[in-house]
Amino acid sequence: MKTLILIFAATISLHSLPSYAEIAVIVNLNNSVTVSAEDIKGIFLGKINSFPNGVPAIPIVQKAKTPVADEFTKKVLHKTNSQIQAYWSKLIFTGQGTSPKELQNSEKILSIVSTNPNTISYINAADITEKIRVLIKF
Amino acid sequence: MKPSLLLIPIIIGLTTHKSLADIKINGFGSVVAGAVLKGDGYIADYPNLGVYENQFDVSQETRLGLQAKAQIDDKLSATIQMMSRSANDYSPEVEWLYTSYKINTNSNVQIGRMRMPVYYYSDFMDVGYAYPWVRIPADTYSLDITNFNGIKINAAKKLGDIYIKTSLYTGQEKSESDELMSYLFESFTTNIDRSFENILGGVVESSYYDFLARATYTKADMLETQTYYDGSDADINFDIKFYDLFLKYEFDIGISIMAEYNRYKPFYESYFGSLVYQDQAMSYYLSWSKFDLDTAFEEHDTTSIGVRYDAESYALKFDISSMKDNGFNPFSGKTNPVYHKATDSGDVITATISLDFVF
Repeated sequence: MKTLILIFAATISLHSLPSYAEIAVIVNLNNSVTVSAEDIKGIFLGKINSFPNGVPAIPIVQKAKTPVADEFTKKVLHKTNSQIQAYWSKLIFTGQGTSPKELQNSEKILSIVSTNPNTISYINAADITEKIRVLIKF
Repeated sequence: MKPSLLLIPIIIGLTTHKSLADIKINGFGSVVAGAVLKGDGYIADYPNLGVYENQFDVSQETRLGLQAKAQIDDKLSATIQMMSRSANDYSPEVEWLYTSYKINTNSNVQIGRMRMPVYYYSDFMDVGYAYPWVRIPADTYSLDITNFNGIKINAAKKLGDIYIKTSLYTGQEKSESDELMSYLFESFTTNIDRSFENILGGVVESSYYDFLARATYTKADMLETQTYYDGSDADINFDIKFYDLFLKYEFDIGISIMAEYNRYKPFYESYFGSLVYQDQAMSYYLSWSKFDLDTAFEEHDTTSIGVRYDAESYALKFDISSMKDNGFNPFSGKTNPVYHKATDSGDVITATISLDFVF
């Protein structure tokens, strides 16, 4: 019984360990907009299609179920993977939106964000380069 | 809507000369099996008349939807959504068929066949994967028509930290041999046709962090043609108005509460409330809904408890619902259960299991 309790306690503490990766939300170097966490949430959930200054925003997400995507979904969108899937199915089948474009990895994301001034995406903070601007870290 | 089927090859034809990459195919489905545990019968889906009777049944709420969206250029797209429902003998029906034109970054206009967005869940009440319950509370989501042909303008805005979405729509709808109405009034009619003209409505939805509020208003001119057993018929004109309010709050600890109220003039009001608790892959819900006709003939409420388990790309749900039927005939004083074949009051308990998926 004691062993069971220990295993149980260990499992719980594993679950509550602080998240390891820091997420950096990034935009093009020419994009000087300032945003709040709530603005970012709204753009990635398709509630609004522009930055606070009115410039059209194109959100791009990391490949689903990778650690960085899971971390972003949890920390920034405050949703579980199944909640986010349910959320998008609601919008897709009612003509209210399309889920953000998904790219395979951080290199591809860095490449498009550094060239397209309307894009907004996120990477592991360890992958930050000088070719993009970091908006906010989570 | 049979003529609309002809439009599918046209839409596909419009786009196949371009690359296939411009067409997005998505789908959803629910396999639903229900049984009556106590009582005689339960109407689980009013608009399509999905009714559980005395046996285990997979052919009342099971459904599949397939959607194709063709992006024609940066601003213009065409979408078709076909659905096949067990309650309608699986015959494919066009649920949505519209073109969408982007007016600017945050607004667009849709023209074609769409859902009437009168209730919060109207637009996606068939997409079981998108909500916690086995079904949208049936007492409350009982409007006999669900779609319309017309035009809808949508706009989104952010004011401070408040997101606001607004829609305005107008159009018409015909419901020949209205399935639900013909069933409800089969004691004195052989058929009911309904035609809704000059539909005009608006929706305002706003969210502020974890709080969401949505209000709708719709009005229309309705012409109802009742055909009687002696072969005669009569036309009745109604000036109808429908309004609805939906509120939802999601607490950080995984609990969400929601409530909806609607009034359909000059006929009835209905409402529901639900409490949902989600812990990782498991969700648990408790809900209560009620339908109350302005006259005594129809009144029923349902209490449901259920669980949802989320696997990788599908959800499994189990529900127990208990419906109390208080409808009665004010002239004879006898019970008047909404499920007509009920032998007593119409009270019923059902168990339902469902598998919901999207792709």
